[in-house]
Amino acid sequence: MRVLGRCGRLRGWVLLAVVVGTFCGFGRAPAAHAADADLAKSTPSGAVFFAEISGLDAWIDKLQNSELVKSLPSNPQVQAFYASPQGRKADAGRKAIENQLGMDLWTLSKTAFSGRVSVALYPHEGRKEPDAVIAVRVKDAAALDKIRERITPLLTLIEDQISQTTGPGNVPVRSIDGKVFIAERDDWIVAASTSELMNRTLSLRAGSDGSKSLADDAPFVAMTKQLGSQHLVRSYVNLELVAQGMGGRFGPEKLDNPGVSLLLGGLYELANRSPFLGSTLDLDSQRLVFAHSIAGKPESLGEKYAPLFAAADKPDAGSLPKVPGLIGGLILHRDFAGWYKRREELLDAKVLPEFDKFEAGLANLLPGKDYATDILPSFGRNLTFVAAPQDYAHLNGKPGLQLPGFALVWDLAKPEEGEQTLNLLFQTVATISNLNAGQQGRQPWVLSSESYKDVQIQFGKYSQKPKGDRLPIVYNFMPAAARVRDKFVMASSVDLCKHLVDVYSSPTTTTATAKPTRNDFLFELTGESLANILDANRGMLEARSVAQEGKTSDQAQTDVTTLLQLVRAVRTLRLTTGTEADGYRVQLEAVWK
Amino acid sequence: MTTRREFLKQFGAASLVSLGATPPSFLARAAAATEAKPDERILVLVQLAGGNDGLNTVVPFGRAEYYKARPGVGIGKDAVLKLNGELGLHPAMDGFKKLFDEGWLSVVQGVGYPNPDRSHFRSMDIWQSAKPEKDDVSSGWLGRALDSTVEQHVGKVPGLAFGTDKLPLSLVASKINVPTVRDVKGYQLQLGPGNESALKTHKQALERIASRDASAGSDLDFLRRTARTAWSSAEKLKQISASYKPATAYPGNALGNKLRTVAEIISGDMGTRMFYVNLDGFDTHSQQANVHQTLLTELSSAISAFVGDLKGHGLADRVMVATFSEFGRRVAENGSLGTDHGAASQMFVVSPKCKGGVIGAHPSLTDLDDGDLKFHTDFRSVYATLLDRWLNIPSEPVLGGAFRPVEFV
Amino acid sequence: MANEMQRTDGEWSRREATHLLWRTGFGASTDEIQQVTKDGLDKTLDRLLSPPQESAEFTKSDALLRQAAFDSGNIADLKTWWLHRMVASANPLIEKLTLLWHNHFATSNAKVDSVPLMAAQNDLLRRESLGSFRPVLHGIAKDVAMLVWLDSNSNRKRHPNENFAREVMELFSLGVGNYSEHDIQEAARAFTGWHVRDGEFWFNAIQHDTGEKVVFTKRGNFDGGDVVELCLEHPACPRFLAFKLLRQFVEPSPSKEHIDALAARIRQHNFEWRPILRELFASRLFFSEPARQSIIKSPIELLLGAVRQLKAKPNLQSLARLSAELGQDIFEPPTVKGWDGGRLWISSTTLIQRANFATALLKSNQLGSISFAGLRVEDDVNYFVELLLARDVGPEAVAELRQFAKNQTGDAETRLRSLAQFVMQMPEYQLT
Repeated sequence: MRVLGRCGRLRGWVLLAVVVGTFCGFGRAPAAHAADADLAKSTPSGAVFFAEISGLDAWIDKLQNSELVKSLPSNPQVQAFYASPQGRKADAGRKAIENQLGMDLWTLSKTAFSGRVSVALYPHEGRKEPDAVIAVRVKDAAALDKIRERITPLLTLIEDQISQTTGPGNVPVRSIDGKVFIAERDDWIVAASTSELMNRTLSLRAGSDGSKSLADDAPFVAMTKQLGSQHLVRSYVNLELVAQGMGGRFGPEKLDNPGVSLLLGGLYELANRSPFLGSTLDLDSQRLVFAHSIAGKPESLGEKYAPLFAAADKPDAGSLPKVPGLIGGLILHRDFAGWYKRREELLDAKVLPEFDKFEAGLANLLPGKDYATDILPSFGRNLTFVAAPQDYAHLNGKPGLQLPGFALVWDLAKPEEGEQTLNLLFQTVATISNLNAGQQGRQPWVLSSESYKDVQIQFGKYSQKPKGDRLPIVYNFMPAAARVRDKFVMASSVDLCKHLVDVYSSPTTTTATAKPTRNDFLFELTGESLANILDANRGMLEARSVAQEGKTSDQAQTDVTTLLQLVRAVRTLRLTTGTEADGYRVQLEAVWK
Repeated sequence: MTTRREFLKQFGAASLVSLGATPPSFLARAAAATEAKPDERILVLVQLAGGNDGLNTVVPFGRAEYYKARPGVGIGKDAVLKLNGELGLHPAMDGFKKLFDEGWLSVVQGVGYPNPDRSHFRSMDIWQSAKPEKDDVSSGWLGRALDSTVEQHVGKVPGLAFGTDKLPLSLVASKINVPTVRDVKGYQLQLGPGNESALKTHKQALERIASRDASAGSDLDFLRRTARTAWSSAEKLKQISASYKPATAYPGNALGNKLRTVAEIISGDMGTRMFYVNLDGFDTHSQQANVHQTLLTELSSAISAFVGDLKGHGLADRVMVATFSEFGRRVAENGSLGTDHGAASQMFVVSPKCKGGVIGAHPSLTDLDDGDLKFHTDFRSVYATLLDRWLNIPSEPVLGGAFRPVEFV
Repeated sequence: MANEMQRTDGEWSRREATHLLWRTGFGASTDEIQQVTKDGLDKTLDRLLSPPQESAEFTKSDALLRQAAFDSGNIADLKTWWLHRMVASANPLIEKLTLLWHNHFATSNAKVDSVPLMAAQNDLLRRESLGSFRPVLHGIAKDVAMLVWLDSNSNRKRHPNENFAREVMELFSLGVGNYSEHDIQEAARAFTGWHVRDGEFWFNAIQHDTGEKVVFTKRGNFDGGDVVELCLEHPACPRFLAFKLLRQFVEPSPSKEHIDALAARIRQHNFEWRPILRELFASRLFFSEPARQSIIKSPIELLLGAVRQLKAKPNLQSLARLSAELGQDIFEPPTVKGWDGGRLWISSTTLIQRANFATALLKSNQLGSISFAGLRVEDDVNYFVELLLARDVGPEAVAELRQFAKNQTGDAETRLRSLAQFVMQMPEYQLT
């Protein structure tokens, strides 16, 4: 230790190597068993958090051989990092470790992640930091052996801090300063922060007594049943334990934010009653799926929460209208009228007066209508927002900042009434924005209409097309509205409005049968289209990078190019929430090229 | 009164012992609470932005003309909270009604100015600059009042605009920079991450460096003094804010939150004499019933909680709250169950030290100025009264003339 | 006293170089200070007054940011465009003068509500910053942003609006007490019909009062341009400008003698800034003891000064917001009077925020990134005192700083950051 103390700079690296070495042990203990079960079975019961990674080595291998990693050495930013003092240090450290271990870091990480790796956390009475058990099981015991050999000599340096005992199943347990306990056999290693957890783990491995494992905990059993155990990464949170720690619930029964209640109120209430939160990450060559699931059915929450979920016997959120060049959009599927009616049951009393303000404000836009009685009931359950390229047919030129065209689509439960209300809203909004235009010296538009595929489209029109290369941002908008069957479309572009008429005028194929997943929310982005619109505004993005990160204009240009490449590589990004057979699921799915 | 003072003294003394050498100052002051010296008196000005409908706030239910002019938005005789035989408060203002019954609320009737302007911006400028005749918006009336007493405020935060982004014109001064504070958090000295003792050492070293003498009157001297006051008052405010226990429950609305912080700052005794808070949304052109009810609930509940809280801390005697709005609204309602921009209206003054009651006659509902109530009390008379009789700042130089005082203080 | 304007014959050292750089720009890094110390006063003034070409990188970034502001129509983007010029331009004096004139002709986007109009006014002020005051005063009388700001469209023959006429005398050229109310009424008539139409200046002949006017006892058939000339010829004009110049560049409360001395030079050089500024920046007065460390930094000087001193890569958008919170919201001054500055910048709230700025800059990444990685100094306390304060702080403060530096733990970078933060929180840092 005296030697280490003197060479301060080296000390960090040597200690790191020693810890890795300690994991790998001084020599091999005789093999015991090597069941290929998941690690939860040998993890003590009572964990509040558990995460397990399996088969990551294949992905590390793919990453190592990917174009991206191969191109890194020629990347100017990476080169700059390696030229900096921190970069040089990091590189020297990597070389020192690779020399000592006789393998590169890629091989080291592939070895460590060749089987399963798990982390489990346990609440510790009277302390903020939890206790932990970390377990590694590799595929290839020989590779682990090789690392052991290389590290053994280093361990003698800290001999005086290591003590050794024997745990259940006759497995030797080493402890460093009584803070970390480590045990290993030919293809596995376990580290625990207390000797008690270590003993329980070893007992489970030896099968020596009947002690319970995490895999026996009821919430864990339920999660495994719902999600299965074969995932690249899966994690588990015992919500019962967390809620106990927070006094029974995560928060009040009545939320004090109407927006949060409408968007997440259902999920929030289900989570309060679910025993677990399970998350999984799966990868294949073109797709990443990251999902969170909780247990419980919306029906179990009672009537007042029903408006926040997709009903079992009605169409759900469905999918976005496939208009040309679709950039993205979202669908919110709610029983809006039902939620609004039950707001006193769902929301904290102190926010209720805000609704009165809102209704009064709305009365300015929709005079003579009552929101709850006249307006909401005429709407259906889907509110759709769509973004697609704007056409600039209304201009003689283009705006300096090119926004996508936007559209809002209401499903109408009572098409005629809904159309009336929304037409009124459309015309009021159009008039107000014309008044603004007048005040600011811009050209106002005139409202006109035309029949397109038997649908009457109302739209704004400049009597003289505004002319210019880089017109002000406000010229992005040209309002258009139409009712198509049971949908009302309000768009910022006539073109987009027509495309939506195309999509909605053919009878929808969605049927009323319940699907395995009843989606109540959908958000979707298309990488290519998004990249196109970003590219049209790249000057703005580069300016942001110069103004906010102090980049030079050249760096900013490179950064934006990289960003656009990344965005283009994503085919779609989709976030959904919905009710499944056993529970409720929030899922993020990325598909790339 | 004697018993109360005795109790406070005993309570204070006991707390001083139990809390050690540095008692929270509000306790210390409560223990010593007697009459506030004139230069400790505080004005809290509440702006009702958008033009409050005074006729539906203090309702002349005794006049048939009121119901004739307002068949749709008029407040029923049975619903109002009666102040006397002909006037009553909007039913949402039960907090104000209680204050009125205690004699803590003055309703100053018929306040306005000649040739009223019905533009929000211009009229708000007039109320805030207190110069109706001139188009001079280079300073505000409170700002000029601070300028005229600048020597009293050295090293203090004499005025504070709360929860606004921009400094309201009322507080624009030429010799003092009145800060606008969004919340107490922004008023804390941040030294970054690090363990507590290191940060303490850092701060103490800064304080020692700033405590050295510089030639009197120099900018460096000024900066060091201001820095010392700022750091110590921030520390004080932090402690008070952390331990502050309102004596009454505040309603959860925005005005209530702002006034709660004002109460914290008053209890922290930072030498602030003028606070300015804003309540927006009074521009009720259509369907006004619900919105107006909500706003008046917010106003009445927040202010009554605030003065109740101050009373509980023995500070109410030092504080006067006054409300104003750029104009009232027309006597006759419009076609969409709302009211349009008008002229004269009432002002509220709340304090245990005000005379209480309805002050001045209700303006005639038939003798109108182009459909609006005629004023009989110039708003600068109210300002003059607040300055001369409450803040003890001579009003003439501030308002550019002598104005007849109004008998509410 | 007139010899105050004579050329300095004092010492030229690092301190003088720092003084010159701070007053004529927005703070300076160690490299810049060293360069100017080496170059000496004359060479530096040559460079400041005959500005070098901007770098290709600056020109590119500048165009990018300006276009972004025009495209978004958001004044916040125009603010970052200007801040970028102040931080990165090779000619900081030009930006400093533009800022001085922006304060002098204070116009706010809060009313004008147009990025192109605010930018056009800014261009006018910049174009003539080293030129002459004459074309600026003439230009501002026809500047569209100014005409909108002061309601010129309501200045009509039968209903003259005195707004612009009053400000042109009171705030733009003469100062209070040098004209009568009658002068203003008459001048307002001369400006009638100076209107805006389709975003451009428009002489509305129908609304122009062609009658005879009497301004400053002179009688004539004046129009707006004539009134501007009359103001320029008024003896109070050079004095008023001398006051503004001295307050910006030399001392917070200029004495009458100093004002008269500089005013004489302004008249002599017929409002041509280059020779006037050259004399001022080389004068005894400029380098005199009372002028040193006598000005309280404006928020812009404080924030950008720190960025330039420490060579930070700034988040200009955050800095613009912070500057506004500290009281200086460029393109949105509070009133037509602009910012009074001096002690009015300082209240307990803003002083705390100023100290917190040092923390945010050095202890977080919210305002930009900084690295001391390449810094090798023998005496870190002395290094930061010279760079950041450029003054004698006294032995107690030095001892305090040494003790503070000794107390710091962590790696070199962290310790240097803490020390710089501490020095920037000393009240002395607010002065320049």
